Amino acid sequence: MRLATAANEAYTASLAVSELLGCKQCGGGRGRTRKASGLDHERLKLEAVERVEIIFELGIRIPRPLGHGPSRFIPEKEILQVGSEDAQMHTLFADSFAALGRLDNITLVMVFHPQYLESFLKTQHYLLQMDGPLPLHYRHYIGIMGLLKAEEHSWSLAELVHAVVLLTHYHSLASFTFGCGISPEIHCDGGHTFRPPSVSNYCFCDITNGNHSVDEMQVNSAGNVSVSDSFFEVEALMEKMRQLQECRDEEEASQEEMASRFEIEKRESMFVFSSDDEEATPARDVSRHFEDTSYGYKDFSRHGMHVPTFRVQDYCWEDHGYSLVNRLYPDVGQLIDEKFHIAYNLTYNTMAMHKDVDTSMLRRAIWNYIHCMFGIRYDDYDYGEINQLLDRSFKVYIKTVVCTPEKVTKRMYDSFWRQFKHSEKVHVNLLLIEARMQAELLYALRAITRYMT
Amino acid sequence: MEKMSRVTTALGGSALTGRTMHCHLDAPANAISVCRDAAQVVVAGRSIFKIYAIEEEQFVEKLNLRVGRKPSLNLSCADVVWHQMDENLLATAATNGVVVTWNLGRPSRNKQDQLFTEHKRTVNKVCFHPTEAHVLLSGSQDGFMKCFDLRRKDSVSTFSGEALGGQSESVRDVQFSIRDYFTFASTFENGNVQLWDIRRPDRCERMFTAHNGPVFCCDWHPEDRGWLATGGRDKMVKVWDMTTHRAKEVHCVQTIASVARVKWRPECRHHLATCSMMVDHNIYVWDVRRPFVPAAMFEEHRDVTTGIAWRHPHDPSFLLSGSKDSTLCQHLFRDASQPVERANPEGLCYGLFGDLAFAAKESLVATESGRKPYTGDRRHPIFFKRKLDPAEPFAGLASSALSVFEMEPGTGSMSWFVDTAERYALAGRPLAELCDHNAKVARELGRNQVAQTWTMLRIIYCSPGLVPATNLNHSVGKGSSCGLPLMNSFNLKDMAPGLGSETRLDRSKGDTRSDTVLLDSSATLITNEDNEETEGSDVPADYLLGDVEGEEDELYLLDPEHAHSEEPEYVLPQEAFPLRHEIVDTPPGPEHLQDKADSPHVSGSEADAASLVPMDSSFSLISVSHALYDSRLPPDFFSALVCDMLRFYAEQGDVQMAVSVLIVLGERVRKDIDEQTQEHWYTSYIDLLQRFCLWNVSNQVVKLSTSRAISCLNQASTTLHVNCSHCKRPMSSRGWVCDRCHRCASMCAVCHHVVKGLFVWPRYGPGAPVAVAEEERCTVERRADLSYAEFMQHYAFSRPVILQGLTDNSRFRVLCSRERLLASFGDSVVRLSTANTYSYRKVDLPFQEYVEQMLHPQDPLSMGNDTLYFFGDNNFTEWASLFRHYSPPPFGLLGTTPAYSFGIAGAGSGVPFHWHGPGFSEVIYGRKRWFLYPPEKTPEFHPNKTTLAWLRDTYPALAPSARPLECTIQAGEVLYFPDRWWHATLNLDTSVFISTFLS
Repeated sequence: MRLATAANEAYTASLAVSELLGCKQCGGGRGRTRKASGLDHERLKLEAVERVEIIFELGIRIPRPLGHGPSRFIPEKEILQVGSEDAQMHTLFADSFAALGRLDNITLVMVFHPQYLESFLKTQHYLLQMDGPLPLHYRHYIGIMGLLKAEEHSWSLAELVHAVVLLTHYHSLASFTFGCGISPEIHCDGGHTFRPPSVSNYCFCDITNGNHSVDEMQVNSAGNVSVSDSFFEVEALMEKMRQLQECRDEEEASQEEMASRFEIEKRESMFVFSSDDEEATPARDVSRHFEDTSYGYKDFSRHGMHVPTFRVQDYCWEDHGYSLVNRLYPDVGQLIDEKFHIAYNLTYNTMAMHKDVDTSMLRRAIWNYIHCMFGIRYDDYDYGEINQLLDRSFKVYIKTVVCTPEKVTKRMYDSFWRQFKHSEKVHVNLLLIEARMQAELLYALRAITRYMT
Repeated sequence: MEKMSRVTTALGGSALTGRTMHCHLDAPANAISVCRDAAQVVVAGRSIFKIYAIEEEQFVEKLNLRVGRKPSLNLSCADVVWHQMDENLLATAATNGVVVTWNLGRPSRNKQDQLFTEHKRTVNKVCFHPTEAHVLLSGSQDGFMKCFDLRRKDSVSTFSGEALGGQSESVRDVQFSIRDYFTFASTFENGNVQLWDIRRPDRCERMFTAHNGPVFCCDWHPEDRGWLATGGRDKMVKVWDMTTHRAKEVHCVQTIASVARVKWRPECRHHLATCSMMVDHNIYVWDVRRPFVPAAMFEEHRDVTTGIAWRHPHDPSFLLSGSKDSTLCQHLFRDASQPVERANPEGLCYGLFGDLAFAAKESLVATESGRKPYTGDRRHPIFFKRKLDPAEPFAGLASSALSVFEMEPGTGSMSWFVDTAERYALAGRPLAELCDHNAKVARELGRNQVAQTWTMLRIIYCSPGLVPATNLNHSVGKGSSCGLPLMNSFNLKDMAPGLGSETRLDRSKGDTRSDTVLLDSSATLITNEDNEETEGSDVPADYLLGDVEGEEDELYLLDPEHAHSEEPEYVLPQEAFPLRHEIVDTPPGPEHLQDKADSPHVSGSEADAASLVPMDSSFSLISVSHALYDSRLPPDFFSALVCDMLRFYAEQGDVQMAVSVLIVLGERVRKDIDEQTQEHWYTSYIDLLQRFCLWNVSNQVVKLSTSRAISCLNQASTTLHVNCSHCKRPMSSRGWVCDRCHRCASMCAVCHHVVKGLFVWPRYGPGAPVAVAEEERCTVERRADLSYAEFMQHYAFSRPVILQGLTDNSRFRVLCSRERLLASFGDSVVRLSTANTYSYRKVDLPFQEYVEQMLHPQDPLSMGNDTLYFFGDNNFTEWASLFRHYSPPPFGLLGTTPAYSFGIAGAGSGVPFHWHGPGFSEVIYGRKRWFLYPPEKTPEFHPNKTTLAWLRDTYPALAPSARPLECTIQAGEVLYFPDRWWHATLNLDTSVFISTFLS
C-alpha cells in the first residue's frame, strides 16, 4: 500500500520533471515555441530556467534530446523556419501548443500542409477528448493498440465504430510517423539520453539508419551526383502525365484489359518489397502487447487466399461509410469526411521545380494504388496509369509505409522522387495515410453494415 | 370514388390493377425505371439488367439485356432510365463512366445501341428529355454533365459543375424540368444545386446550397411548375420554390437516414416518396406539410432500397421499388402501414406553479377515469388553441382531451426531498452506520416510517454480529446461567462457554501465541461460519488487538476468507470496537480495562465512539431479545420482504428511499430485483435529483449504482462550460485559452503555467512546484448592493461577505500600477514582515528592491517564517499621497476607527491562519484567495508553514464538513471578515491589496 503510494509519487514527480524539460526545451533557444507567442514566452522561459535550477539543486539527472529535429528523414533546417510561418500556421501552432503544452514532432512536420493539419488535429481532438461512446481510457488504450496493430474486441455498434475509427486513425498515424521518420518525443524511449553529449556519438534512436550525420553527408553527395538524373525523372513523369491526359480519349482499352490491369497491379503490389527487407527492424518493446507475435500485415494472395475485389461503386465512403459513422458516432463522419476531402484535393499545383501543374492525375494514381493494394477497385479507373506514373522505388516506399511502416528506412525515403521537395514528400504521406485510413474504414464499415442488415 | 374515376380517365379507360407483390432478382438492383405503358419495369444493377412485365399477380421476366459471354463493365449500371415517349428506348449509366443507350426494337439479341465514353468517371445519373425524343442528359462523378443528341455520336454540349475556384464537384443527379423545355437541375456532392438552360453550357442560370453534404437526388414536381424536391446525405428532404428570384425552401422533411431517392407522388400535390442509401430499408411517403410522421411506410425490403418509381404518372396507388436485397416489389398504397395510426398523441407540460397539463387522445382519457376533459378557465385562455386547418390530412386524428392537474398551495414543498438527498449517507461506512445515520436523518425530518425502515434494515442485516457480542457478555456476566445456546463462533468449538470467554479475554490482552494455539483446531470452521456475519465477526478484531499494528491490507491478508466476504465496503477495525467496549463492562478485570485504554486504537479513535452512539438502550433490548432467532436466519431470509418494501416505496412515489436502500444494501438485495426495475428507479431518482439541481448527489448515485446502464451515464455527455476570466465570455474551443482576448484564462499562481483542469488539484511530487488551481468553490456570499442596515444585521457580527460595487477605486487602481508605484515610491523604505502566523521578524528594504527582487512567486518549499512579505507597517506620511485616493468601504462599526494596511505580494504568497479584529480587504490588482473559519473552529495548521503548503498538504484531506469558508476576491471586490475569524490568504496572482482594519 505504502509502496504503491510512493511509486505513484515518484511517477508524478517524473511527469513533472519531464514537463519541465519540455519547457526547457522550448525556452532553451531552439526557437520552437516562439511561434506560439500568444503565450508569454519570455516568462515561460525565465521560469523554466528557474525551475531547472531547482532540479539541479535536487540532483535530478537531466535527459538530453537525441536526434536532430522532428524528423530523421528531413533535415532540421528544412522544417523549422523561425518566423516564416503564416497566420494560419501560427494559429495552428498556438492551438497545438495549447493542447499539449509543447509542439510534438508530428505537428512540426505536418505543418508543411497547414490546411490538412488543422483538420487532422481537430479530428484527433474529437476522437480522443470529446463526447463519444467509449470512455477516455479505452480510447487511449485502443489508440496504443492501433499503433501496435492489435485488434480489439467489440462492444456495442457505437463503441465498435468509435474503436474502428480510432484504430484506423492510429494505423494511419503510425504510417505517417514512420513514413516521415518522425523522431521520438523527448519523453519517449529513444527520445532522450542521460549520457553527456561527448561520451559517444552512437544514437540508439537511429537504429534503422545508422549514424545520422554520416547519412546526411551521403544524401548530400548522392544528391549532387544525381541532380541531372532526378531532374529528368521529374521531366519524364510530367511528360507521361501529359501523354496520358492526351491519349486518354483516343486509346480505348477493352474491358478485359482494364480488369486485368487492376489484377496485375494488385498482384504486383504484393511482391513489391524493398531489398532492405533484411535490415534489422527496430527491436521495439511492444511484443509484450501481442498474444500472437506473428501478427502483422499479411499479403492476402501470397497465402493462396483469394479475396474478392471490393468495388467502390458498391460501397464507398461518401455514400455509405459516412452515413454509418455519422449515425453511430455523430459528427465524426463529418470530420473524417472533411479530412479525406482535404487530403485528396490538396494541391499547390507544383511538382518539384515546376509550377502550375495539374497534379490530380498523379494524386489519383497514388490514392488508387493504395486502395488497389487493399483490393479496392474503382470501376472508372484505368490501372495502367499507375504503372506509368509510379516507379518502383516509389511503390516500394508506398507499400512499406502503408503495410509495414516500421520497416521504412531513410534510404527508401530518399530514393523516391529525388528531386521533389520535402514538403511534397510529406504531402505524399498525407495521401498515403488518408487512403489507408479510408481503405481500412471501408472494410470495417462494410462488415458492420452487413452485420446490421 | 371520385379519385378512382379520375384515374380511369387519366389512364385512358383502363385502370391499373394489381396487388402488393415482389419477385426475386438474381442480383442487387441499383436502379429501376418504368415504361410509359405502366406494364413493364426495367431493373439495373452491377450484374443485372432485365425487363419485367408487371402482371396482375406477379412479375414476369421478359427480357435479359445482359448478353454476351464476358460481362463488361459497361453493363455495370449505376442508373437506368426508360424514355417516357418511346417504349423502345432506354439509357443506362455505367460505373466505369460509359453512357449506353438501348433500342428494344433491334432485331438481334443484343439491344445495345450507342456507347458514349466521354465521361472519365462513374456516371451517376441519366435522364431523357420529357418531350424531346433524342435528347439525353448525363451527370458524372467527374463533375461534368453532358447532353447527347442520340442521332449524333458525340455529346452536343458539356456543362461543368465547377464552382468558382476550380474544384469540380461530382454530379449526383440531373433532372429535366417537366414544364420548362430548356431547363434542367443538377445536384452536387458539395451540397449545391444548379439550374441550367440547355442552350447555355457556359454558365448555370442559378446555383444555391441546398444541403449540408452531398445532394443525392432531386425531382421536379409534376404539376407545380417551380417546385423541386431535393434529398441529401444530411437526412433532409427539402422542397424548393424555384419561381421566385432566389430559391426558397418551402418545406423540409427530416428523415432518419440519408435520402437516396425522392419521387413526387402522382395526383397528390404534397406527397413524395423517399428511400435511403444506408441503414434504413423502408420506403416512406411523406406529406411535406407534416414533416414529422410519414404518411405511409412500406417495409417489405430487407436491405436498402435503391430505386423507386411510381408505376403510372397519374396513378398514386402503385409504387415499384428495387433493392440491394435482390428483390423487385410492387407496393400498393392501401397496404402501406401508416405510422400515424400507431401513434398515441400525448402531450405533457408543467406550468410555472407546478400545474400539470396533459393532453391525450380523447378515447384514452375519457375511458380511464371518467374524468371530464379540461375545458379551460381564465388562467389558460382558450385563444391559445391553434385553429385547425380542415385541409390538413391529420385533423381528424388529432382531436384530444386536455386535463390540467393543479397544485394545491403548500403541497409543493419538496424540501424534505432535498434535505434527505443531501444528508443521506450511501456509502463509505459500514452498513450499520449508514442505516443509523439515515434513520437519524429521516427522523429529524419527521419521516418516521422511513426512519423505522432504516432501523429495521439495520437489525436485519447488521445485528447478528453485534448481538452475539452482547449476548456473550451477558452470559459471561451471569455465569452462563441463562443456558441459551450462544451463537458466537466460540460455541462451535465445543468448549464450555466459560472457557470460550476466557480465551477471548486472553487474546484481547494481546497474547498472540496462545491465540494461535487455541484457534488452531477450529480456525477454518470459525471463519467459514462467520462468513455470513462478517459485520460482527470478532476474529479480525482480535488480531487488531494483538500486537499486529498492521494496516488493513495486512489484516485481510491474514484472513483471506474475509477478503472475499460479501460486504466489500465493510471496514474491519471500526466494526470490531463495539465488542471491546462491551467487554469493558464485564467483571473479568479492571486491569483489562487499563490494558485497553493504553491501546492507541481505542483511546485515539473517534470512530469507536461514533459507531457506538446509535446503540441506544431500547435498541440493544430488541437485539438481545430477538438475537436467538436472528442467529438462525440468514440475512437473505428477509430479502424478499425487503424487496417488497422497496417496491412499496417506489410505488408510493418515494423512489428516493428505494434507490437509497438499494445502494446501501448493495449486493444483499440487488440480485432479487430485476435489472430493469432497478434501472427504472435509478433513472427516476436521478431525474428528480437533477430537477432540484442536486448535481453532486445525482452524480454520487450514478457512481454508486451497480447497474451498467446507469453508471455509464457518467461516462458520456459531461460537458464543462468555462467562461474566460477576463472577458467573461464562454470559451468554446478549449477550456483554458480564450479565443477572443487571446489569453489564458487561468494561470498557475506559482509557475504561471496554464491551469487546464480547474477542477483538479495538481499533485506533484516533492520538490516540484505546486500549481495552485483557482477552484471555482466559493462559499462566501457575494452581495452587490448591500445596505448598511442589512450589513449590520446579517454580517457585521456573524459572517464574512464579499461586497461588490460599493466604492469606485479606479483612480487609486491607476496609481497602484507597477510603474506609478515605482516612480513615486521606488526609493521609500518599506518594512517587510515574515509570512507566518506570528510575524515578528521585520526587514526594511527600499520599495524598488522589494518589487524587483522579492516579488517572485512563492517557493513552495520555503517556510512561511522565511518568506518576506510587504503588508502593513506602512509609513503613512510617506505614502499619504497614495492613500488619500483610496475610498474605503462605507461601512463602519461602532467604536472602531479604520486603519489601512497596504501590501503588494507575489503569486502564491499569503499569510497562514491567524485572526484579529474585524475589517475589510480589497484587491486592487490580481486575485486573492481567502480561507476562513469562525472563531470557535480553530483550523488545523502549522503556524510557520505557508498557506500554499497548507493548501497542498492539509486542505485536500479535509472532510467536507471541515472545510473552511473560501472565496477568491477579484480586483475591485471587498471582503468583510468579522471579529476574530480565523483566516488564511493566498495571492493567486501578483497582487496589490489594501485592508481596512476596524479597531
